[in-house]
Amino acid sequence: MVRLKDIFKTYQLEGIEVPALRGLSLTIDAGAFVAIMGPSGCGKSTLLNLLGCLDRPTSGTLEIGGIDTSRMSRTDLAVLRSRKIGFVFQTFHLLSRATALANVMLPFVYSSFPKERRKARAVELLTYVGLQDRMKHRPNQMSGGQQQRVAIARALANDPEILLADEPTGNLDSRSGLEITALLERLNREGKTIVLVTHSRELAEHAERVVHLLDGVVIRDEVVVERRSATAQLEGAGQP
Amino acid sequence: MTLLEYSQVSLEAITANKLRSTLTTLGVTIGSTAIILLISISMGASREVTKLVEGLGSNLYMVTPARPKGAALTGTAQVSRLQLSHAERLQRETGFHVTVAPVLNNTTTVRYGREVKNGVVVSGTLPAFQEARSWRTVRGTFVQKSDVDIGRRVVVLGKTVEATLFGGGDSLKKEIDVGGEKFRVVGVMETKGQMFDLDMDNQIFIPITTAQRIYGTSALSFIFVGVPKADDIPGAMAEAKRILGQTLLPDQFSVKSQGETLETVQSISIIFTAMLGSVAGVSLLVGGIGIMNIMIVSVTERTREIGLRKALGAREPDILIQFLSEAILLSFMGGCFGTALSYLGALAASRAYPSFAVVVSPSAVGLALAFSIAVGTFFGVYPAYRAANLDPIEALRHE
Repeated sequence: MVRLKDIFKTYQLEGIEVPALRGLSLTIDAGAFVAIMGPSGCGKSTLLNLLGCLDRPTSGTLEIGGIDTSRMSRTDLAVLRSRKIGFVFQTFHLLSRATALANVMLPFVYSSFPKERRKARAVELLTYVGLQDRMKHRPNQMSGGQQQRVAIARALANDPEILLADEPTGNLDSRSGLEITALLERLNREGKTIVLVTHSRELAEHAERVVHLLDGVVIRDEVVVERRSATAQLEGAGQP
Repeated sequence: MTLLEYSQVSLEAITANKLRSTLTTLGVTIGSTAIILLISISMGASREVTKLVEGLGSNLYMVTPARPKGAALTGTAQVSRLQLSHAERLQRETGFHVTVAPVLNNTTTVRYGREVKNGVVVSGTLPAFQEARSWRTVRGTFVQKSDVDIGRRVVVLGKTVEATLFGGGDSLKKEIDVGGEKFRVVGVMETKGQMFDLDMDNQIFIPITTAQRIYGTSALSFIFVGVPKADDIPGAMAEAKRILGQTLLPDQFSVKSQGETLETVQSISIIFTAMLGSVAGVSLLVGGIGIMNIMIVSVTERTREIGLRKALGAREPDILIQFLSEAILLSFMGGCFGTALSYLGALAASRAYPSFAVVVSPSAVGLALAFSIAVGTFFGVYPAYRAANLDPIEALRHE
């Protein structure tokens, strides 16, 4: 479970204080699928960075799995990131000179994952995301959708509690986007907490809950009544 | 993360850009080559000098006829005023129990049957020569007092001369032709080996009186003086100057110890060392700056990768060590290239100047490799520190 309480985050830009979050409170239950929406500059990215332990709030408390991270050292945050958080980026961020397998194995280097089981685990994850035939391919030999699958497999490497996805379908065609969304749905069904940041109302409706931000606070927090299902959409189109 | 993993990551990054990495290591390559050759050459030189001193006998000084002032310009041949009587006087009046060995040198051709050897050094001398130079015969005897007294035509061969004339055969009691005169072989000297470019064994010895008669001169080429105790050398030299000064003008002779010869050789090798040393220092410095430069470029190019690694859980020390080990590995590779290059250089030098063999010393290689690691560490710290302190959010957004 993730609990944010009265979070303020202020940036210093050329000596001027720019508030990004102003007293935001939010609770995300374990196993939830939450979408965060809002216009540019509403504080979405800042919130995502705080949830991902890449940054610390100026004030307020942020608990991840019962641990208060708001006063942690940068080293402790790095350790927490490697154990509890998986990132999925809009631009994939794969290492271009490494194979799919090597990319998925990258997080093991920074966690204490047993060396002899690393390869088997990476193979298992790539198989899970449907890339068992692409293990030795480099990113430039794969489509955008395949690259994002590699990135998701990498995010799952250390079996994190939370998956943070920042516009995961933003750089993909609609078909590949739907497949990635279906993959996220499946992960959520199997118990992963998923936080999805997006501009797209349509994508957000795949989540069970949509949180709207404006000017650094939550302005609306709604349960999605008619959830979309990418899995069903794909099946309806006669595809696996 | 283990050290092996850090090196693997570094090696991948280095091999990803082979040409750039190779060019980057060039400075360190040249620097380590210079260090290795510098040490190897100066060690080789001091070995040569030691050999020279041991070869001549360390408890030794020489009296030579001094070259008249301006002779080098006018081309006037050196006229020796040294006579056998001077040598006898030194022997008689010494207070240091020295052994005086006057030498009359010439160059000649020797023959035995159909075998001919040109350019052989003939040294006319006294029995005392053996003691002064601590040079033994392996077979037969050296020039004896009775040979000198009556000017016998007997000869003692150096190893090279014997080998040329007799092959593997025995030379004792054989008659050989020395510059047109018949001489009987009475002894063979033990091997002395090369001294710089001079083959000490390409030499024959005859009684000094015989040499005086054949060459029609009584002037000596030089006088070797053996001193029983090395500590007495300065005293004995002062004594020689005093004794000879009674009958010779100061510019008609000079007295030199092996120590002085040694100093000359050493001062040359010091100049050489300083020259190569500064080349080594400068190229290591430049090489280090080159590595730092390319590492800064590399950190900038890989900003997003650094951001990603941090997002995946890399701590600051992880990034620091990764980039530091990359810089060290680059520099160390330069050291390895330098090692290979100096072995090639030593080989080439040995081919070109066989008498002055450069032997690459393992300790020099060790030192150069240690230096290359130190350079990589020193110049790699700043770029690695910069990489480690990148803000992951900014780094991920970097384009």
